[in-house]
Amino acid sequence: MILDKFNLDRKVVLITGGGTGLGLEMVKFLSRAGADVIVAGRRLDPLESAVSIVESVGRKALAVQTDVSDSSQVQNLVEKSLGRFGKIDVLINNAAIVAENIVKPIWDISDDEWSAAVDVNLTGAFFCSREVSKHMADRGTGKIINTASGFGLRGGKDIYMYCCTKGGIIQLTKVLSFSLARFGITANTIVPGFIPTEATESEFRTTLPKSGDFLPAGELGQPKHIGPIAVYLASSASDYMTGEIFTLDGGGLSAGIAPTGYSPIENPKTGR
Amino acid sequence: MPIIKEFQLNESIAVIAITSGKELYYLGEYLQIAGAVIFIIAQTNDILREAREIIGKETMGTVVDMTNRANIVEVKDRIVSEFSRIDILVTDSRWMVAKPIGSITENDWNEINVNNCRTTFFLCQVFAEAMKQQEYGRIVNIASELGDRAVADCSIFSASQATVLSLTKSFTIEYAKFGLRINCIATGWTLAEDIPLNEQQKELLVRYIPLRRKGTPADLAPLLIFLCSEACDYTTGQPIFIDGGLTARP
Repeated sequence: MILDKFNLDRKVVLITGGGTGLGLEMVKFLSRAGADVIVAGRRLDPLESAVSIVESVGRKALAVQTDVSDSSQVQNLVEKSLGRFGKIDVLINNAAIVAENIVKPIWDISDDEWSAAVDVNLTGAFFCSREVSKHMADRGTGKIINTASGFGLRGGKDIYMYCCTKGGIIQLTKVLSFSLARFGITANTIVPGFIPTEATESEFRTTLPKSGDFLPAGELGQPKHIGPIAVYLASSASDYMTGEIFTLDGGGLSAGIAPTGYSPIENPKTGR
Repeated sequence: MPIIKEFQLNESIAVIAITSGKELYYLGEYLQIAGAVIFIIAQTNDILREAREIIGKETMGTVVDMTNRANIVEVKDRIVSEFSRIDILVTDSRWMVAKPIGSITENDWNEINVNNCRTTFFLCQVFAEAMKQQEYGRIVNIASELGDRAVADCSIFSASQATVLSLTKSFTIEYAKFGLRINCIATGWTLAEDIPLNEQQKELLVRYIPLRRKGTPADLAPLLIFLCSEACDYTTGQPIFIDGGLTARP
């Protein structure tokens, strides 16, 4: 039966940044689809509530407090995961830095601010991929899913670190896919558009559109929209897809968010 | 076995428009297994007969010359009067002409244009207008990734695929606000027949596919089911490539 391909029974998923926002939504859907989940992140409280969500649907879960920009902590994360579950079928690199000061004119960005974003958003995904892919290659199977952003494809005004690191994530995915295909490993990127979460509340408050009026779908995204895509990419349903971008943007990338991209059409729901 | 309910197609009315190729027969079968009610629009009697052999003898369907817009409107009206709604339209625009540029005739150009561009546009136009009335719809155009990358002897075919990729974006701009989600599956090298791996890998081009095999309808089906489902609530207007890694490599 074709729908069985979406089933994640007996699969083990390791997700970074899994305690909040889009990561937490992926955790909910992945566990509902049958996966056991390791959630990693910097703050322990959200990780522990993610664990109880997974356990409430009868799956196993493990929280490992981790700063992915520190390779020794990433090693510890993978060791603990393998110690508990014996394998990792799917790695989701979702952790990304959230900072009030991420929108800034280029002249005001300090060395430390630049490095902090690159270290978490890009280097962290690299460290996790390096650590987990060796294990996947030894088993001859594995899936890596990276969370990027529409800002990885388009430029945002004064959003240097986020755009550059998310663009880097898309490239990392392509290199991983081509390099690791021979070991049975696939790699794909989810590219979310404007989806308000706890993180964007503090990060892009001034830059994000307030409503979806200028998006083709007429509305901003909701975190729950990412769940089915994570299940698709984590499951055998996507075995022939690798190196690709899976957008989740309400049509934003098909034109642009500015009214110059197209004539806005009156939204039958809001009347605007 | 846990399968999240959002992927089930729950008796959605799915119109499968087949102008050429056998892959939609199998994809139609998979949509049916996932819960959709299938209505076949076939360009010829042979296509309708062959499609029914795969999807099921009793599958509803009709033969329509889709190169004529009025015929498409007529069949749309018939489906609406029968079911009172249309949830899903799937098209496959990969009618092929493979020739060096110097040998392309005006007739080749017209045939590619009619079969891949004009037919796809008017199918999408007519059905999108119907879906707009019900404020819900899913349209999936199946095209080739050659719309994004050139290959020798495929000039006008590639141009027609780029048209389909582009139409997917334009339809999104004009219809997404009415609850429609319009997407494109961009395939690599696919085949409907079951050819053993060692046979496939004798072909030089297969060795260039990072996953070292051609794609099958079973490979595309889960993506098609997702894009046709209610779960596909915020993905629209972009080609989703599924090609064994071809577009990521140099």
